[in-house]
Formats: sequence, C-alpha cells, structure tokens
Amino acid sequence: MNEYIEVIFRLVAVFQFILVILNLFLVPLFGWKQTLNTVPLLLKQVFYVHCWFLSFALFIFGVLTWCLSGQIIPGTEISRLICGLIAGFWTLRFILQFTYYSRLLWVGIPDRTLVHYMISFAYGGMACLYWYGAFPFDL
Amino acid sequence: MNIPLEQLIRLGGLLHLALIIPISLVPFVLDWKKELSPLPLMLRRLFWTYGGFIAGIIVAFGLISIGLATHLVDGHPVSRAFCGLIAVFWTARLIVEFTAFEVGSYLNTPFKKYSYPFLLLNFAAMVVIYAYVGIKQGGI
Repeated sequence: MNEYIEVIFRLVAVFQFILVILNLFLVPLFGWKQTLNTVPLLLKQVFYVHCWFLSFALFIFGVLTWCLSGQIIPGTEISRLICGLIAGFWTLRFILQFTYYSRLLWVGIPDRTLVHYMISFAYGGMACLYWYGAFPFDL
Repeated sequence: MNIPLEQLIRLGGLLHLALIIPISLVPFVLDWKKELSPLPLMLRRLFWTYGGFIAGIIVAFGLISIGLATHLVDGHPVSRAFCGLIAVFWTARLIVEFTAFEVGSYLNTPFKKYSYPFLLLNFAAMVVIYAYVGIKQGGI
C-alpha cells in the first residue's frame, strides 16, 4: 500500500507542476492583458509578480512533495509538518473557492461551472491527501 | 568562523515573519480598494487571493524555518532542497525588485523612504542565509 501512497504523492507533485504552467499563462488564457492596462503601473506589476511567485511557491510544493513522497508512510517529523502546511494552503484555497469567489462568476455558464467543480475537486482532493500526509495511518 | 546553521535558519524564519508588517501595508499603500474597483470581479478577487496566499506562504516559510530548524540543517536532500529553493525564491524577488518595479513615486514619506532599504536588506539576508545553509550542509 505504501508504494501506492508514494505514487499518488508523486502524481500530486506533477499536478502542481502543471498548475504552475497554467497559472503563468492565466492572463493570456483569460484575455486580461488589456484589462490590466487600466490599473496603475505598479499595481499591474504587483499582480504579475504575485502570479510568478505563487507559481514558484507551487513549484516548491511540487519539489518538496516529490522528495518527501517516500517518507509519507510512516511519516517523519519534517514530512508531517510540510504536509500539514501544504494541506492548510489547499484547504484554504478550497474554502475560498466557495466563499470568496462569487457564484455569479460561474453559475449558468456551462464551461465555467465545469472548471469550478473540477478545480474544487482538485483542491479538495489535494487538501485531503496532504492532511493524510500530516497525520498518516496505515490503510 | 563556524556559524551555527540552526541559529541561522531560525534567524531566516524571523526575517520571514518580520515581512508580515510591510506585506500587510501593501494594499493600503497602493490603495487596492480604489484602484482595483474598475477591474472585473474575478480579476479583483484573484488579486486579493494572490496577495493573501503569497503572504501565507511567506509566513509558512518562516514557521517551517523556526519550527524545523534542527531538521533543516541535517543534510537530508529535502532540507537542502528547501533551503536552496527559498534562496532562489528570494534571489528572484530581489532581481524583480530592481528590474520590474517602479517604486520611486511611492516612496513619498520619510518612513517609506528610509524603511525601503531595510526591506531590500531583509530579502538579501534571506538569500545569503538559505544559500549558505544549503551549500554548507552539503559539506561544500
């Protein structure tokens, strides 16, 4: 069973690398380049820098997850704490998806509704998995 | 000179936590509420989400550094990866500060003007600390 857990964590690491790429191309994907030109220059730069650094943070999560995947079971102190912090990150992101992002953004728009449920499932799934890494038990 | 790596990592953690104050001032200094109001709702929400999560990640780096200082200097590949990636993170942040931002017009009070160099020193100190610890524990 432990080998499966290791593989699952490695897949989650790869998924986070994919999220890094998606996040870096969010502005062209949503066609926000023109819209962002309407805010002051520094604010626009802050947005881009936050976007890059959040991507880099996800990259760090991916690398750490890949490196730690073999230690999740039985769980070392470092693996449990790092999993706990990443779990907190994805739990919060999952909660925000329902509480902070307005329903008006996706209700009644089929493709956006699909994306909303897909990313909610992904964020929630990652949160559960990392909580398992923080408090591992034999399956 | 033999600098204790564990203490250095704890110092790095404190430097991360010290950033909470300037980070929490950013939305007010740049008047996000007013300036972001013309943007579409989703972009506006994304702006705040990015800001909040970046702040959270910096706090998490600080807490990991303080709470796991002993483990982060044990020479394990995970510890070295963590230190190395944080060093790269802050190196990139420092480069961005000089290449992407135009902060001149925002340093319009003595407090902002004189505290700004300390912010840059903080970034630079974290680069040095994490790079040094990452390299040193590899026996280099």
